[in-house]
Amino acid sequence: MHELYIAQSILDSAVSHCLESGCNRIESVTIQVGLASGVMSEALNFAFDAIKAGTIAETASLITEKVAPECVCKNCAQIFEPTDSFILICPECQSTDVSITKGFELQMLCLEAI
Amino acid sequence: MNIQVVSKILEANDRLADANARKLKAAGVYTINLMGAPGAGKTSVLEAVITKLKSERLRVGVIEGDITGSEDARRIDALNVPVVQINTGGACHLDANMISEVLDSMPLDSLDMLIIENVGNLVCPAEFKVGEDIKLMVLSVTEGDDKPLKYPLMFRESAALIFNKIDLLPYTNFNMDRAQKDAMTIHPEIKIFKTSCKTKDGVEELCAWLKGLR
Repeated sequence: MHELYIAQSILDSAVSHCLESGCNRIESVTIQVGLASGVMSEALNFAFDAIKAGTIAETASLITEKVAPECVCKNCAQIFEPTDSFILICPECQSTDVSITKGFELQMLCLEAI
Repeated sequence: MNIQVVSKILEANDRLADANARKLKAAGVYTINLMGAPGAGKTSVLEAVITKLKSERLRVGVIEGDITGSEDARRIDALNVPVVQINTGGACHLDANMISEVLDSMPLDSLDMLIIENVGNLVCPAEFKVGEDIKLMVLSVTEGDDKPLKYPLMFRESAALIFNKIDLLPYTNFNMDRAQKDAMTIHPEIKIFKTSCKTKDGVEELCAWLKGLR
């Protein structure tokens, strides 16, 4: 449901960046989505396609760069991928004092415009 | 032309949430974002907590978030505390803008604590900041002990977890040890409470903790 809200934020931001740069047509928008961010890129693409009609992004594609989650053990500095359920236990030293360093990204990186 | 942007997509929401937080802090109001599935007992926990906190002279206000209807606001209004109902009209969570629109209708200067009851949902509310100091979640034992593993983000984000409807434990196969262990593996610092709004078990401990937050 909230993918529509997020798609609208992407569209609004892309349109204003495009116009600020003196362009009037958006060809593509590149975003970064962490796999743990709770945002489904398929739903996001669907929503983006639905709302871009009639805007300067009408023919724009939404390019999604996915980021896999990554954790760092604060005890032994081991870097590892968490399980799907975010059971955060260091595979090296079994410490649970772990911080998540990647996977929650939700940001716009760049856009192609003419 | 390639235009480099690099900005957080939810930046607009985060900015508004920060503005809400500043406003609330300036008025000396401690704010809690209360989350949980539909039927977990969020409103019942609120009723129990407000009744107790009111008797201890803590001034609580409530913002109720629901897709539609004002049933929850009526229940809170009956306790004689300031309450505003937000209807999201279909949206599955509250966002910072919705809160910002109703903040002015709350008597912030005469409140110590604001509790924002989010839309019943175990997914989206955890992703949108509204200006709260902490997130708090209610999980009823009738929902099943597998919820921490199925909705980890919600448990990671919450400062405390309230296991509610514990009076029903004998009638369910809810494994409290498992649920508690899983929640604490996902979020080792999560504070745990066990309540029954029917028998009022655990309400006192929860209220004592809430009072200490300010």
